[in-house]
Amino acid sequence: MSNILKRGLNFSVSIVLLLLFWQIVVVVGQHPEHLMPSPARVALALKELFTDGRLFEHVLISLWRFFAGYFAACLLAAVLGTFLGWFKLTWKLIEPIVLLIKPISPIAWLPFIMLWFGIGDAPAIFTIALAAFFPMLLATVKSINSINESFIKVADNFGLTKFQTLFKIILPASFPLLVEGLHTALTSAWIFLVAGELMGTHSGLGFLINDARQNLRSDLIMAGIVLIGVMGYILDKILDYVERYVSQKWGV
Amino acid sequence: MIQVEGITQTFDINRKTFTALSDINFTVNKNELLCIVGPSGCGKTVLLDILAGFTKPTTGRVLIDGQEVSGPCSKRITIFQDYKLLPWRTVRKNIELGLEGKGLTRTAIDAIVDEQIESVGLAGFENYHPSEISGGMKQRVAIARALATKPDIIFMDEPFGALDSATKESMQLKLRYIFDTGKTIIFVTHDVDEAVFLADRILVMQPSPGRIHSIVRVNDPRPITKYTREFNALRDKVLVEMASVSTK
Repeated sequence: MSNILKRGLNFSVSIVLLLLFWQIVVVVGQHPEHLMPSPARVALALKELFTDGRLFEHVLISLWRFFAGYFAACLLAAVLGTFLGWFKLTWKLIEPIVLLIKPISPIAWLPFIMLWFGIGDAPAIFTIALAAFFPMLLATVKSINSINESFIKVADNFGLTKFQTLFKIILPASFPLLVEGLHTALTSAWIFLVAGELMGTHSGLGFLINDARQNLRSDLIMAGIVLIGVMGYILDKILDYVERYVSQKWGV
Repeated sequence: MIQVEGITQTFDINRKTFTALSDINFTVNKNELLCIVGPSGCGKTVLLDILAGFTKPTTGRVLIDGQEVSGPCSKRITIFQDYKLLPWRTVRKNIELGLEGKGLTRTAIDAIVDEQIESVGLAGFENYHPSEISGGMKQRVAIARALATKPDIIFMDEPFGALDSATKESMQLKLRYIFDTGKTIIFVTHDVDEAVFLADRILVMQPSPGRIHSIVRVNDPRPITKYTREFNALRDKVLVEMASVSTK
């Protein structure tokens, strides 16, 4: 209990420090309001978004796009990664291609994504999926490849078929690393949430920011940024918790 | 019966050929408990891996009841020093591993697992995970998992090496009891007391390259407890053999 209290205190102090620093920058800098909105202004903007209902509208639509892209990509990457990890020769052929495409930011693909998927949810979902796919794929292949040889020895000894070995030994054994992959993919995909929503959409947190920019509402821009940060933080913490639970359960 | 015929095992390490085993020949009778002892690096574990079918020997062959060993098989189970339990499975599910997907009914599997849990004294711990139980208990799970498939032969690679002496003692007694139910056991250890207490015959190995130094028969009859006069005499005999290995 005191541990939770301690962590809560830690968190509060960090936030207070951040707000303090922000306020000092505003006061000392004497920047025009539209270049650097104060914390109070941003709080008001958040309140405005909350009361007129736009907050939930944008957050919900963003979350739906995010999870659609994220889960689709992770599922595909996990299945494909298991296959590629299992058939090492195929992976040798595919790996250079993956490593070549992986470092390309989804933003670089945006013009094509717009051309291919038009406007609406699809381009945003695809951008997020693209950002999640490669980290998850690499994590899956790695987790299948790095399985402890001795588990395979046990499987062979007890007469398990290849198929049984995959489902009873290899997948459960690689599960903690898969969850780690899910975590990395989540962090990567969340970063590109805004990018995916910048163009061709009329809703979501990315749109909120872009729309506020066009209306010179810097307080709303900052409110959007705060929302993205807070939600990213919460998602990250949830996966942190899942990861810890799994590694405890798995005894690793 | 296990017949080992002219086994040689070499490995290529950094373009150098290293001979781990050289010209190994011996036989193990049905229902015999053979201990393999020797200093580290004499190829005990490599030999056990070959017998169990995990490793293919460079030359030579292993015959079990006249059939050449071509790979591992659930009639011959290996028990390792580090247990190799599946950490995500409970005690019960670990013991079940070799019984799944073999066309047995749920009730049949449960009956076998219950019997094994009872016989190794793990009742009440069925739903624990390996990370929640002691080393001795883990090794008992590994033994129960092996016995559940009713193997003819059990290979044991220093199975009690990581246990404290009291636990080790009770596991040795347990093993003798298991052995009395009619199993052929090949037991690798570096503990001479353990070998003398358990074995019918002790195979003493020597290193570089790994080969058989001598075979000592010990059970005439097998000592009932350790450190009797007969036990000590046998132990001295084995220790002399071991000593002559290290002075060579």
